[in-house]
Amino acid sequence: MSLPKIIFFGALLYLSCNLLAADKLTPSQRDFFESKVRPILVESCYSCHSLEAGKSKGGLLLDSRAGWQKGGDSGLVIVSGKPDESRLIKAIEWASEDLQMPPKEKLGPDKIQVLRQWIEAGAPDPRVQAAASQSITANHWAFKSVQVPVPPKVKDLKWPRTPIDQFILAELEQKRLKPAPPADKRTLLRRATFDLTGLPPTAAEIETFLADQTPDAFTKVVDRLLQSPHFGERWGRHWLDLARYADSNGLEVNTPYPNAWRYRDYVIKSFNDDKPYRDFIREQLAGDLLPVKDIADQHEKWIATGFLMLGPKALGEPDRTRLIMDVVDEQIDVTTRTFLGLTVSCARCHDHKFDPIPTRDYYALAGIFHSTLTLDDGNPLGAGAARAWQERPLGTLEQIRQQEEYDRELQRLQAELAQLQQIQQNLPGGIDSSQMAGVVVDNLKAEVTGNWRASNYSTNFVDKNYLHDGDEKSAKGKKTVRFVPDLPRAGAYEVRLAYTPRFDRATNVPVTIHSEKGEKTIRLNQRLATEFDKAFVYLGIFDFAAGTNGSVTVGTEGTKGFVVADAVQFLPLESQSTMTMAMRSEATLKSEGKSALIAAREHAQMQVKITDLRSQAPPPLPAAMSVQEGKGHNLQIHLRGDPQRLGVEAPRGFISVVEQSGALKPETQIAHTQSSGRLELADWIAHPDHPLTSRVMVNRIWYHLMGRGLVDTLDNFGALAEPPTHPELLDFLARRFSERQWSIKKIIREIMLSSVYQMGSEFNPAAYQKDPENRYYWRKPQKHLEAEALRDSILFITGELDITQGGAPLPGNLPPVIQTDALAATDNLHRRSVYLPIIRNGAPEMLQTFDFADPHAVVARRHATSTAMQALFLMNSPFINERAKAWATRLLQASSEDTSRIRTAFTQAFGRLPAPREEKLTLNFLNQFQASLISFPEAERHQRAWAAFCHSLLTTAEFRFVN
Amino acid sequence: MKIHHPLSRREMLKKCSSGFGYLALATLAMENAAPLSMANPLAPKPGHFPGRAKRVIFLFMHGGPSQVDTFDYKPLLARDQEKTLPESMRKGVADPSARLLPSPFEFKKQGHSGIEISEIFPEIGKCADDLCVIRSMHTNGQDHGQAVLKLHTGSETQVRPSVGAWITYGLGSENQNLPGFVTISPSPLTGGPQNYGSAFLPAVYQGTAIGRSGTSLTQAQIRHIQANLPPDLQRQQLDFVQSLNRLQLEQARTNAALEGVIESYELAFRMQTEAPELTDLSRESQATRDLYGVDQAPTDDFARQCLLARRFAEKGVRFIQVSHSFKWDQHANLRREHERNAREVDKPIAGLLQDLKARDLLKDTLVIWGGEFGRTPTAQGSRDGRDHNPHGFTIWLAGGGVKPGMVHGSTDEYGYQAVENKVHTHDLHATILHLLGINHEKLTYRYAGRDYRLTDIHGNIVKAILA
Repeated sequence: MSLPKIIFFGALLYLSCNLLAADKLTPSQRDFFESKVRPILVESCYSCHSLEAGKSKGGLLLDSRAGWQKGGDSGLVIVSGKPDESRLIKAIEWASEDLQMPPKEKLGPDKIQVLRQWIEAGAPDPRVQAAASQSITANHWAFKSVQVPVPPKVKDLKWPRTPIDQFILAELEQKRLKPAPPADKRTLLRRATFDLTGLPPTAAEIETFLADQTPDAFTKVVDRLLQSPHFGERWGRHWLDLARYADSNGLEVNTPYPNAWRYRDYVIKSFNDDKPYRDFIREQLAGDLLPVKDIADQHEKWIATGFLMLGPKALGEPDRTRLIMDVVDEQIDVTTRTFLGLTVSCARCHDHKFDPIPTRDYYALAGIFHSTLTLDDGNPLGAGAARAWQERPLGTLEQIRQQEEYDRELQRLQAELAQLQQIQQNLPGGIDSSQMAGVVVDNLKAEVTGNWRASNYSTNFVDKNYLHDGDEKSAKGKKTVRFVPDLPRAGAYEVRLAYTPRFDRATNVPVTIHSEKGEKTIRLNQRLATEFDKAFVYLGIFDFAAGTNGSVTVGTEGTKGFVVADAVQFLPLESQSTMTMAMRSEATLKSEGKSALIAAREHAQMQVKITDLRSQAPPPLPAAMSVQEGKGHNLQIHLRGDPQRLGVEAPRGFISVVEQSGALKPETQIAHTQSSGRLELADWIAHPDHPLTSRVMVNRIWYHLMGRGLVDTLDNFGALAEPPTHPELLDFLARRFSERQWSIKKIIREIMLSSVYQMGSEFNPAAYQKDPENRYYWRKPQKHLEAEALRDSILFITGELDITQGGAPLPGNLPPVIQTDALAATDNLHRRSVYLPIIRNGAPEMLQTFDFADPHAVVARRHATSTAMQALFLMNSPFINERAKAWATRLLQASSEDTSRIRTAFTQAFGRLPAPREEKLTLNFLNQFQASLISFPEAERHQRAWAAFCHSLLTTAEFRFVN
Repeated sequence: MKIHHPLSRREMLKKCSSGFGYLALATLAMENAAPLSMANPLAPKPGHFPGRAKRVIFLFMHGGPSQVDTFDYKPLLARDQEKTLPESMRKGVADPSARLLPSPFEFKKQGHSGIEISEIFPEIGKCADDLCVIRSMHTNGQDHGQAVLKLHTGSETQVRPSVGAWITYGLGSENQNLPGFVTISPSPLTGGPQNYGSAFLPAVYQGTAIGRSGTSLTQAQIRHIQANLPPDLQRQQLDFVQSLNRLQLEQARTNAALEGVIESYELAFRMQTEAPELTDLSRESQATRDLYGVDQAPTDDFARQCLLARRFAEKGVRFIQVSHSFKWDQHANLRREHERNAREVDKPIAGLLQDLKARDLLKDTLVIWGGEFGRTPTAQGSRDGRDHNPHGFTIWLAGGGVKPGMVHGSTDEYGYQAVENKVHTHDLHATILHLLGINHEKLTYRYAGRDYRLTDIHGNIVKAILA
C-alpha cells in the first residue's frame, strides 16, 4: 500500500522542519522521549488526537511523528527547534482564549517545560508508524474496484433462469434453504405492474396474461410495462426522493419554487427514455457545461442542474457567508449520498468519525460548489420576478414582453400608493372619534381644571381640537384634564392617549390611570411621535368596572414645555379585530371636510387595485432553476465549520480515499482551474471505473424490486455500511450495468426475469427459523404500497385518475411565502400523485399520512408504517368516501348481478377473484348493512351499502400490500 | 415483561376487535421472533432508569420573550440607560451603538423563595415557589427559524426528530387509545410541522396536531376523528374489513405487518370514541374553567389550550405542547405587546400549575415554559423594542423532579449573555430526558448507517436543578 495521498501531500507542503529519522535518535533522545514526552502525550492528548481513540480533532494526530509533521487543519503545530513558534506550545500554555489545550485542564508547568525542551531539541520522535487511518479504510470493500465475478455452480439446475439466480441459489443452498415456489400468475402480474408503473393491472391485462401460455409470456409483460409512460412516473419518483424534490423552499422562508417542476418532468422523461445513467449523472451535476445539439437540448441540460438547486435554503439567514456555506453543504450532501452512498457532510466540522473522509476532502469538494453560483441577490420576499436563486430564461419573446408590461404597471401603481401615503400623512385636520373602535373620550367631554387653550395648530388630532396648557410656569401642577369613560362592561381595556407631538412639548407629562386595581402614574414624553391612528400612544392594559368608575388624568406637575391633552381611547381586549373604521360615503366625508379620511379611503382602494393586478400576473416566465459557473477558487478549511476561523487551504478535488484504494485516479487536477471543477467532478463520479457509482445505483434498483438492498444501508456504503449479503452479485450487477450502456431498464429487466423476482411470498416456518430477516431471499418479501401508489390506484379503479403528464403544479400567483398547509388540500386534483404540489412542510395530506419522503432530506428508503392516523384517513376522510361512492356507482352501472359486481371489484382491487368464502361474506355484509340503514331513505340504501363495500375493500390490508 | 397467554396468536388477533392487548401482542411477536419493530411501537417502555417525570407539558412562547422584562431583573439597566454596552461585553453584538433600555415593568420578589418576577405575570408570580427558573440559557440561531428548530429538534440546520418524537420513541405512551405526542395549536411558521415531526423516526412518533395557531380551539380536533358513519354501522363495516384481513392472515400464517394494519384500525376506532370526549371542555366544572380563564377575555384561547393539555396529561399522553404562537417578537411596541401577551397567558398558566398540583399530577409532570431565545437588553429602533438574543435568556421548569422555588445560573449585569452556570439548549434536552428516566447518550436511532441522538454529540445534565 502506497503512502496515503493526504499524508504525502501534507508532508510536501510542510517539510520545512528538519526531519529526524527514528533510526538516527540517540539513546538519550529516545530515553527522554519515552520517559518524559510520550507519557504526557498519551495521558493528555491521545484521547482526541490518536488513531486508537478514533479521533483527530482539528485534523490533528499526535500519536505518530507523521501525524504532527502533517499538522492539523490550522496548519503546522510543531516547528522543530522553535517552541515559541509552535502552535502546540501556544495551545498548551493557553496563550489565547481561542486555543487552549487540553481544553478541560491546563498542563502543569513542569510538563509544559518538558514539551518545550523536546521541541527545542528538534522534537526527536521514534514513533515511526504512519498515521494509517486512510490506508486501513482504503481496503474497505466498497472503495475497491468492481470485480468480475463468475456465477457460482449450484446443485439445483432447474431453478436458475439467469446468472443472478445462480448467485442467490448458491447462498441459499449453502444455508440449506429452499427458494419459495413461484408466485401464481395473478400475483406476479400485480407485483410487476405496481413495481414498474405504480398502478394495478387492468382486468384485460390479467386476462391476456392468463391466456398467454407461451414461455416468454412474462417477458412480454415486462417489456410492455417498461415501455409504459407510467414507468418514468414510478421510477422517477424514486429518484425524486433522493433529489429531495419540492415545489417550495421550506424551512422558515417557505417561498415557492415555481420552476422546480421542470426538473421533475426532466427526471420522469429521463427514466422513460432510458437515458444512460452516466449521462443522467453528468447532466444533473454539470448540464450547463456540456456540449449541446440545439436549443431544446440546451434547455433540458440547464433544467437537469435543478438537482443542485432544489435544496432547502435558510433564506432568512442574515449572514451571507454562512448562508452560502449552508447551500454548499446541502449540495455536497445530496451529491455524495445520492451518487456515491457516502455521508460526507459530517466532515464539515471535524474529520469523519467513522469514514475515512478528512475535513480536507470536504473543503476540496466545497471549493467546487463554492465556485458555482446557486444563490442570486434577489429578495424572495420582494415584489416582481427577482428570485433569491439562479434561474435561466426559457421563454419566448412574447412572454418576455408580457412580463415587462406587467412589471411596469405594478411599478406605476406602487408609486401612486406611496404618493397617497405621503398626502395622507401631511393632511391637516382632525380625526373623527365616532369612527373609532372602543370608547373614545375627547377633550370636549373631559373635566378640565385650570386654564387650558383649545388649538388646531398641529395636525392629526381627535375631533375639533386639542388642549394645551400654554406652558404657563406658575400654573404647573394646578392644571389637569380628566377623561372619564362610560364603559359598557367590566373587563380589561387597552388604554391609549392622544396628543399632538412637537419639539416644544414637555418630556415628562404625568398621566394617571385610575383603574379597579388602583392608581398608576406614567410619565410621557410628548415630543415623541404617536403610534396609532396618527394620534395615540399606548398607556397599558387596565381592568375597569362598568360605568364611570375609571379615569385618565393628564397633569402638568413638574413639567417643562407644553402639555397636550386631546383624547383617551379605551379598547376592550377581545375586540381587537373590530378596530377598522366604519366606512362612510365619500360625499358625506367631503361635506364634513374630513380629507384625511378620504386619503385613507383612496389609499385602501389603491391597495385593492394592486392586489387585483397581482392576482392577474402573467404566469411566471418559463425559466429553469439552474446553477451558473463562477470563478474557480479554493477554500480554506473552516475550523469546526466556523467561517470566521480559517485553516489551511484545501485544493479543490474529489474524495481521496477512492484514489488511495487504487480503484480510480483522477484524470485531471482541478485545484488551479479557472472553472469551478464541477464538470470534472461529474466526470469523476460518472467514470466507468468508479467503485461506488455503479454499485450504489444497482443496489437501489435491486432494493426497489426486491424490498431489501444487497447492501441494506442504501445511502451509506462507507465504513458503517451493512456488509453486502451477496457481494459477488452486487459486483456482477454493477459490471453488467456499466457494460450495457448504463441502461437502467436493462438491469430492471434482467432482475425481473430471474426466478428470485418471480418467487411467491409464502411463509415457511423452517426457513424463518434460519433466516428470520429473509436476508437470503427464501421468499419474495411483501411490500407496503407507497403513498403515491395507494392514492393512484384508488383513483385508477374508481375510474377517476387523470393521466395527464407533466406541467406546473402551482398556480402562477402564489404569495412570496406559502402558508405551509395552503396547498395540502388536493382532494379535487385527480392527477397522478407525482404531479401534485410538493410544498415542504405542507405536502398533500394523504401523502404525508402514508410515509411520504420528507422533501427536506435525501431519502433512500421510506418508512413503511401502519398508524392509527392512516386508519382514520382511510375510514373517515372525505377523499376516500368520495372515491368509494364513485366506485360503487361504476360497479352498479357495469352489471346488474351482485356476484359479478363482487368479482369485478375484487379483480380491480386485488388482481384476483374472491374465494367462495369471501363471496359469501360479502353478500352477507351487503344484506346486513343495507338492513341496518333504516334511518336513511329507502332509495339510497342500496347504493350506500355498495359504497360501504367499496370503502371496505379500499381499507383492507390486501389492498395496501403487494405480494 | 412476559405474559403467557393460553390463546393462540390467531385466536388472539380475532379478539383484537374487543380492543385489548397491545402489550400481549408485542410479547407474542417477540416469542415468535418477529422483528421487534413490528411490535406495537407505542407500548409503554421502561426508561434507562426510573424517571421522576412521566410526561411533559411544554408551554412554548413563540417569538422570544424578553428575559429582562419577565424573569431576569436587571436594575442596572435603569441606572445606565442610554449607555451602550461596555466594550468587554460586545462579543457577538449585532449593533454596538444600541443603547441600554430599562424594563418598563416593575419587578417584585415573590413567595418564600423571593424570585423576582415582572409585574406583567401577577398570577404566575403567586406560583413562584413552584418554579425552577433558569436564567442562563443560551442557544444557536439569530433568526427565529433556526432557534425554534434548535429548541424543538436540537438542530438548526438539518431535519431531525423533535424532542416529543424522541421521548415517545423512548418511552412509548401510557394510553393506547390516543397518540403519544400531541401539539395544540402549532404554528405553521418557522419550520412548522418539522417542529413536531419524526424525521427519520417512524411516523407513529410524530406529534398529532390539534387545531393550528390563529384559529379558535373551540372546534379543533384530530384530523378525520369524526366517524363518517354512525358507530354501529361503522363497526359493521370494520368487522367486514377485519374478517377479510384475517382471511389473509390465515393464508400468510405469520405476518407482523398485516397484524399491524389490523390493530391500527382498532386503535383508530377506539380513538374516535376517546379523543372527542377528551377535547370536550364542557365536561370541566365551572370552577376549573374559571381557574384557567376559559370564556374570559383575553385568556380564553390559551386557557383552553392549557386545560386541554391537563386533560391529555391526565390520560397518560407522553408529550403535550401548547403554543402561544409567534406573539413574543417585540422589536417595537414592547411595553404594549409584552403586557398584552402576558395577559393572555398569565392566568391560564397559573391555573394549569395549580390544577396539576391539586390533582397530584405536578409531581410527575414536567412543565416547561420558554421561547426560542431572549431579547437584547439594548433598545432597537423606536426605543420601545428589543432585538433577538440567543446569548442569554430565561426559561422555567416546574414539577416532574425539578427543585421548586429556585433560580439557576445568571446573565451578566445587563442580562445580555449567560455567564454563570450556562445552560445550552442541548443541556436542557439532556436534562429533560434525564428527568424522564432516559440517558440522552443511549437513546439512539440508526439511520443512514449512523446512530443519531437528540443531543448529537453535546448535552450535559443540569444536576443542580434536580430535586
